[in-house]
Amino acid sequence: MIVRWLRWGGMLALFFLETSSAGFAADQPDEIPAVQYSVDGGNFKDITGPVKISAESKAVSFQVESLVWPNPNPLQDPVGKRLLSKLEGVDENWIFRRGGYMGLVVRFHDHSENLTIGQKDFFVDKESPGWDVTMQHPHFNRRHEFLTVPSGAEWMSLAFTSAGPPDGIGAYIAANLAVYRRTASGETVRIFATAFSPGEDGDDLQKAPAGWGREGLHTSMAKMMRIEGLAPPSLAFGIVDNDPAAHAEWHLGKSAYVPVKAGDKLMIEWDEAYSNGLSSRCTLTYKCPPPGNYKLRLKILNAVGFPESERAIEVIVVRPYWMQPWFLLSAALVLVVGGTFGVRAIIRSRVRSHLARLEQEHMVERERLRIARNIHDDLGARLTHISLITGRAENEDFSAGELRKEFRKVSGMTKDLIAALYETVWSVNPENDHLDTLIDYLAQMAENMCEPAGIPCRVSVPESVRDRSIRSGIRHTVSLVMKEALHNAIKYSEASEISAKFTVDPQTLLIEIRDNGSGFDASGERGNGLNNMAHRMREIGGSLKIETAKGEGTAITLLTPIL
Amino acid sequence: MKKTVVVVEDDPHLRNEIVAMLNRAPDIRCLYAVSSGEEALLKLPRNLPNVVLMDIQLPGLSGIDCVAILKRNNPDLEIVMLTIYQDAKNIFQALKAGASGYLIKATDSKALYNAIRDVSTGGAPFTNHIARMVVRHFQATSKAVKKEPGLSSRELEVLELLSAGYRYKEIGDELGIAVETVKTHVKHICTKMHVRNRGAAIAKHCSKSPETA
Repeated sequence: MIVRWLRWGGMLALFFLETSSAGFAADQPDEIPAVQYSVDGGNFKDITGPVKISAESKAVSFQVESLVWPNPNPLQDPVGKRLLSKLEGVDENWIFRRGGYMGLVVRFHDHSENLTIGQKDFFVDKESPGWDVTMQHPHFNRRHEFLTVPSGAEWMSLAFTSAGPPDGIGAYIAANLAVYRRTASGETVRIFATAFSPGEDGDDLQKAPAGWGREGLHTSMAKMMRIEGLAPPSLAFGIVDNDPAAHAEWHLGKSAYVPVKAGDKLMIEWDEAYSNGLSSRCTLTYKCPPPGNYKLRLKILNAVGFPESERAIEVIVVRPYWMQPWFLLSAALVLVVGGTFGVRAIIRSRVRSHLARLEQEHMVERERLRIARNIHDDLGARLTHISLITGRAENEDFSAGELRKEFRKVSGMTKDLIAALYETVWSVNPENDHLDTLIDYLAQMAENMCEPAGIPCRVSVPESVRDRSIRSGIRHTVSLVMKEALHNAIKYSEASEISAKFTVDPQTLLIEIRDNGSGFDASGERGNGLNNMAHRMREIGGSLKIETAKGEGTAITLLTPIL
Repeated sequence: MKKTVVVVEDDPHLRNEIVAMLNRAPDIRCLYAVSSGEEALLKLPRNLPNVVLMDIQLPGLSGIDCVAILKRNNPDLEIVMLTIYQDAKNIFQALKAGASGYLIKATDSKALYNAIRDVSTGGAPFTNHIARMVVRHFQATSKAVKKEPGLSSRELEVLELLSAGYRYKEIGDELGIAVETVKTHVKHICTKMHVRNRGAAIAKHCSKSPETA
């Protein structure tokens, strides 16, 4: 009674397993496993929409959650699925996930049949070409493998297994297994073949062939299968492992071990077809593709490779901002605009400096002209004068007294000439383009003018004058105006004392020429000369101020700008 | 006792004129004249005069360098610089090097004799202008003239009045001293300036480069 219930339960279970492995996805969870992504080895992030990656990244990884789901039927084991992926635009074909180990295992045993001396595995993974997920008409590969029997071995056993990593799931079908021995003469002698009768209706698919047995956690996963198109027609061994936690195998029992001799050269031959893979969490890593739109397609396959559901994740590789059209456009615009302004600015500054240079040259020319004229007019005139007098003295008959008078004239004139020459030289010499030398010169000039007139001259200069440069034109004007002011003071004021006070401000030179004489009416005729002086001062950017009143002396203040 | 003079001037016309002028004076005798600083350094040590008239602008060894070298070995030698213009910068350099005064070349005999007599009696033909430069010089080398240990307070007063444009006589009146005393003070100021400069000046002249202001 209990046995019958058990059998019922077992058959029910088998039915469920069979339907599930036969590709009917009816009661499997529909949900696609969660996928996360990470860029350049960073943290994995959830995918909530299109994945945007910068084109400057090096690699992007997609992590697919484990494909093992709890079975809705709590009595049954969790179900495993496999993953097929393709990054459209990068992968040419669908990429199979690596699989577990499924295939033929050859073992050699010692005399006692208990010890395994040697083992050779012939495992396969992924999917064999021409695989049929319905497992009705898979294409078989014929395999030939060669072995040498190790020493000490007397028996050989064979097994088809799915005993790889537990996460491995898939289907493995093998048929027409045979072992041959190669003799020294090169012949092959068959020493083993699966003892099937050619497939007949009514074959009991549950019954194991002679000598073979099932093993594993779920022995039901090891099946006998009738495959159409097998040539020669026969039943095939099948392992259909859809349980990520279990494995199953077909193996030869001890009673059926094949006797072998150490050193024998064997050839093993069989047909195989398979499709397997891992159902654990998997990571797909891609080198960052060039900028563009991509689609990562993920197919969820059942254990035997039947696609059950699909998911697509949009992946957009974004051009770095500096490659995007809007940036390039605005950059080009900026360049063009900037270029235009730059060129304009360069041209403008060139023109400006050219103009400045021209003006400078013009000023220099004006100065040279003035000096040339000065030498010509003033000094030339004086020399001519001297020449006239000496010429006359040479030719005419002068008395000793007259001669002395003439010579005195000449003497005086030459002295003046020397002074005038010195002044011209001084004003031209660029060494004198300094504020301190100008003040010295003007002070000396004041003293030299006052001395012959017998008027005491009081000079006050600033304690220390930092080196400032004064243009030759300004020097000339200031000394001219000051000379005139002093000349007026000496000639008209009848003063008993004349003073010249120099003050230096950061921006200006102030010269105060005072006399304690009679003063004068500024609006009168002397006003003209003063106006001229004031005009000259204004020309150089300075000014002239006059304070005078009849009987109260005069003070003339010259203001000169200094850089 | 006639005052002896040696003339150092490279222009032959000028040299001859000055020598002639000197010999016309009753109390002055020109010993000899040379045309270069090198010749002066050769001849002078063997036959020293009271006063040397030295052209500022000489070919070869400059007048200023020559002054410094001569004053080193002959500190009592009076040297008056001859200059075409009242070129303050060069004159001041010469004074710093040890000259006692200067003279414009285009001068008359009166000024020439006065210069020589003045200098022989211990005067220093200082113009107000030169005095200003001296004041500034002392200021530049020690923050305020007051701090200068070399100048006495009287000398300071004289110097300041000089640089303000007072004549010797006026200074005398102002300070209540004789003109001669003023002159002496000026001489002392000048000497002190030489002394202050001697070390630096000699060092510089040994390396044959004129001291810059």
